[in-house]
Amino acid sequence: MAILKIKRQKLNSEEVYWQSFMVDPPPRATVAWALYEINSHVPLLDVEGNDASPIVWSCGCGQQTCGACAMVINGKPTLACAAFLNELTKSSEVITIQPLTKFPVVCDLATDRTLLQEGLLRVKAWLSGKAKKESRTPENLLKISKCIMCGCCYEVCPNCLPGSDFVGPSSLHGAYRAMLQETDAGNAALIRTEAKKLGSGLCSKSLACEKVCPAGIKIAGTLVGL
Amino acid sequence: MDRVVVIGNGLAGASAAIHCAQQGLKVVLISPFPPERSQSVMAMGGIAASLNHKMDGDNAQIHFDDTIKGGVYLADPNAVRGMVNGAAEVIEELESCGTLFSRTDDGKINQRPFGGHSKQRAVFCGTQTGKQLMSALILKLRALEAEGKIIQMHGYRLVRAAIDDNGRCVGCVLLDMVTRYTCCISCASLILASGGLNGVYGNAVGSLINDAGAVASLFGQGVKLANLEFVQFHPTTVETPMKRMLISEAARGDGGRLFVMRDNKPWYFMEENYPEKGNLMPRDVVSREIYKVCTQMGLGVNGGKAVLLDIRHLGKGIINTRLDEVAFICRTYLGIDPAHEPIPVYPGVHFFMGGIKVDLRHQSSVENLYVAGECACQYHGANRLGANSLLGAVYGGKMSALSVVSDNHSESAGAADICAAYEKSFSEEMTGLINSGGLQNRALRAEIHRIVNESLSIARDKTGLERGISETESILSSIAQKGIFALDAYQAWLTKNTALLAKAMLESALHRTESRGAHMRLDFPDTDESQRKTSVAAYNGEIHISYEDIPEER
Repeated sequence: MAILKIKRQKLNSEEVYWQSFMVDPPPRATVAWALYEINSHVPLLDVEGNDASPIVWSCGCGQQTCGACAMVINGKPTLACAAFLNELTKSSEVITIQPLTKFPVVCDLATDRTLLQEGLLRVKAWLSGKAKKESRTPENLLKISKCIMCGCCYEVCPNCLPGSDFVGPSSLHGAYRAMLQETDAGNAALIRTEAKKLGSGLCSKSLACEKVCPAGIKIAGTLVGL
Repeated sequence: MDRVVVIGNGLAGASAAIHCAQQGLKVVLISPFPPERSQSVMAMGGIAASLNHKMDGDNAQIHFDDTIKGGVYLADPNAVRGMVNGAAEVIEELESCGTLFSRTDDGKINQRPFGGHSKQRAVFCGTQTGKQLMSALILKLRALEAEGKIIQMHGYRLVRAAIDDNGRCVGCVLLDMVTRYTCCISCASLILASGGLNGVYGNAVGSLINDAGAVASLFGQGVKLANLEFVQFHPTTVETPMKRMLISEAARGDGGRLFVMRDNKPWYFMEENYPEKGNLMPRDVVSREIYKVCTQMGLGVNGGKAVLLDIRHLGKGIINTRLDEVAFICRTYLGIDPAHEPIPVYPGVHFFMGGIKVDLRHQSSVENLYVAGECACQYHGANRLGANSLLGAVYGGKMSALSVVSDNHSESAGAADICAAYEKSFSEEMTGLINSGGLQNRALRAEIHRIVNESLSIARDKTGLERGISETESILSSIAQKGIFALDAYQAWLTKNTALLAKAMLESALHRTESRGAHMRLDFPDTDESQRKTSVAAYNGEIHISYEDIPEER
């Protein structure tokens, strides 16, 4: 058995409340499974037997490819489809789930992560012309291209704070990627300058983002590259 | 210059938006989520193009023949001709946007074998091809956004097309998925690229974001759909607690073998039944064989619905690099190491060959409304070949954009007022559905999913289809009488539209009294040449199914 203790917030409302739900997970079930399962119940009741509305959360692929379901599970930002219940319940059957805290909450566990997209625009992470042709794809480039823009890195980063200019790790990876593929040297230099100003210069190198990145992208490599 | 609205930011929508913007059109690209979340990122195995990098004599004519034959002669040959001839340029464009294709030892773009393709034709990026293509197109979208040529709006779904008295699309109504407020946007042309109809089945291997709402709504408005009975069941999907997941065809492309145990010995049924192509027969054939082996011969694993896919002999090197995503899914969600044990697989809902009826230029039955990608019925006929979907999406997006550019529509004067009127009537209709004494929305949706999965599964027959139709009919009539109880009016509205679309799919399947491609009728096992036609579903208060001839090649 697992009990999901979920922080909830209605649409267009500031009021926050907690609600717990019980599930009986099959082997290898994830938090994503549990949310899906809970929402399939008609009527939907919490552990105390009260009527509950379906839990709002973002889910796309369910297999760690689209980044939609990032949330904070037992204090750690992670993808719901990568959080296995059998591991989470080893110490306690109660699992605490809340939305990412550094993004505006839309409803329940769904957050608005627009600022991640804005960060990439701010560091000018795009190509001005055609991409470089490589006869062998560099390993680091392949790695950073796998960023799923989930926001886990931003959530855990001690430097991503309100009022800070820091664009966060995912934008730096995007900038580094564009820089590596850019054929126009002038534009590559511009990306580097922007990324330094809004990113690598403001990173305190806690490397916290590396520990939570679902795609396993290392900030150290990006910082060195930039 | 007048505005073009593109709905959907997966491969087809992104491709359409980029080509429109590059031709100087002002583009608004609208989707419920940022492009990183689109279903396209889940595509694994490859994108087909007859580059002949493996020097196996491949060319566009062979790609054409394979595609037409794979689609069991239902695809429009002129459209397919355009696609296979344009494939090399598509790859070139994707590469210049920054796609990181896998390479051969001598630095050329690598290619792998794929089902139904008689040459090594699938260009790939490990088993993350879709993710890589999307990440490159996203770079391009951002560049065009920075130049002010594209505006990206995330968080909206299309809920209505605004169609004027002359039958022209002049804009659309959108629902803000955050606030649930409606808004509308007028445009000179609308390109819809909202993806596959996953929401009708509820257990497709693709993305849960693809709720089929846009297509279902347009159908209710009278936009014609085609070939709805052709739903691809991918032969190799696996059951995980939350959803079925795909084991890429690349696993067989790179040498994986399907078998079951018979008389205590492995029986490689595909290799025995189809000595030439074996495990790499088109997907409809492989899925049917698996169905027969399990259901009719009772040889499935433990007597159940599963056969085994063996990739052990490929070795860890290939499994961990060229089949990285396959290995990841098996190890993470099944607890199986495919380097050490075979993978239990069974066909699952994967792709919709049917969709909105479009002509060669991707225009729908409504003027100024263009459709591309999986939601359009184009290129694939009765069965899609692996790696042709990514090509069809990128190429189709491009074609729709080029049609918009050459048609050069301008925004009609009264467009904004027409859109506003549609917005008002939509809001009334949506909220009017809600009734606290009505049927529970989630129960209704689950019921639709059950019906479709039972009646419109891999094998169909008259009894099952008629039962499904009468069940959807009673759902629709009870919704009309009692409304729906739901906290979220959008979900209620989606349920109603999904029921109508499901009924159209079931009727399309009932009317086709032959077996062809993905449509297997147990009561009509043979292919009937006289039914080599496109089925068309239209709605004007009633669903009408008719047939159109397949165009001759020009």
